[in-house]
Amino acid sequence: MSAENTQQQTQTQVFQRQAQNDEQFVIDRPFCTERPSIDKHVYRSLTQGDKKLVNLIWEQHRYHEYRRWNVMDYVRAIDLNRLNRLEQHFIKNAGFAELTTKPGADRLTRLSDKECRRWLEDDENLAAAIQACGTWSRYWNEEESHHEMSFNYLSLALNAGPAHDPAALPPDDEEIIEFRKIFPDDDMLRTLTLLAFSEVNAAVSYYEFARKAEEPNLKAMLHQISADEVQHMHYFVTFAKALVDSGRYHPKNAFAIGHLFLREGGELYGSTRVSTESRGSHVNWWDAVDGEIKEISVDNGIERKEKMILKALENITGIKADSRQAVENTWMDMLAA
Amino acid sequence: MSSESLKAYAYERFSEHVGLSVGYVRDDDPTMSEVIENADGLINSVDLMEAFAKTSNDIHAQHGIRIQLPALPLDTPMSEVMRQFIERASEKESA
Repeated sequence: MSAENTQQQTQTQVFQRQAQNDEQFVIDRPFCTERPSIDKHVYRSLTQGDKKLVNLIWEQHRYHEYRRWNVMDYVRAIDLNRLNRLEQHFIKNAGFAELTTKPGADRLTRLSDKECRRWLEDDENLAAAIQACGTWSRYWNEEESHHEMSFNYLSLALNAGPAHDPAALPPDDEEIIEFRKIFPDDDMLRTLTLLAFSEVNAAVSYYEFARKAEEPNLKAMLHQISADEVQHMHYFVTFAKALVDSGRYHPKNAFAIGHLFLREGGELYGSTRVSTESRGSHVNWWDAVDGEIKEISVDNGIERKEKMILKALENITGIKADSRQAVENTWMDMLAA
Repeated sequence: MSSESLKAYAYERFSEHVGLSVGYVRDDDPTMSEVIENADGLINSVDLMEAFAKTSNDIHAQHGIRIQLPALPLDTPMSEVMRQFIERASEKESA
């Protein structure tokens, strides 16, 4: 069977699964009559609607199951012998980068619970929104494990065969332990905004490399993973928006992260910056991308990333800033007020 | 305003925003990382970035010059950060 046929088969499987999912998930039962989706107004749903925490987390669970895919479908279909040097390096880098999502999600679980309990007496709806975020972190963690293991399994398999590039090795024990360092705590709005932007960075990087990739099933897998990252970005935006909507978190903190990413030499430019941050506490995946391979630089798709970050910032705060200069000016004005 | 007095003003405002003495920030010349470590209210580099932005706002209010810091690694000493800060102010002034 040709690679193109294999890709077609994989895509057909995906479409069939989606059709089955529609059948399976939209049923004549309470809270199941519509296709699962992300609630974009969590705080409003809790304060003005008829939703409780259990409704939110039921919907999260439906959506998680609805969008699940199987790592084995892709790793079975990808032709290891056809992966070129660039693809092997991308797989290696992506595998390393994805190692940092588990400590990110573990930190989010802990931080959400701490923040939830902080607001319990003063604003029970905000506490519920934050608990919904902490609950969702279990799906985020699990979904990211699909990405991490897809890439690292491919590196492992490549390394076991004759066709691999010796520089594209899977992570060793020391590297895994280093990349698993738990992120330090920060303000919750800053954390969620940073995570939303990090997902933008990942989603566009995967999307851009999918356009360069030649092996058709790797291409398909990268599109799948990119779509997951976009979905995660939407969740982070909606939880960050809930914090702002509550009036308990100042939008200046979301704008600070906007500036941190978009400014000249900012986080968005990752390992392509003249000097990246050496952090003893944890590893930022965008600092760790192998800068020697220019074609897989996180600099790819920079305009798309900027556009998505500006839109995410607007969705979180309700304040439109249409350029990185406007983000900086708005943030500076907020600090002066 | 001379760049020396602008620098002195910037040191004074920045030190107040991070809650450290001007003597420590200017004379001990700590790195930005050490400033974060020693300032009670600072958690990470975002807080530091905010302190510089507030200093820039103070300079803007006082002298009408709006400056923004370049992104620098946290192991940069304060003297170098301030040098670049004031350099940018001078560029804006002459423009």
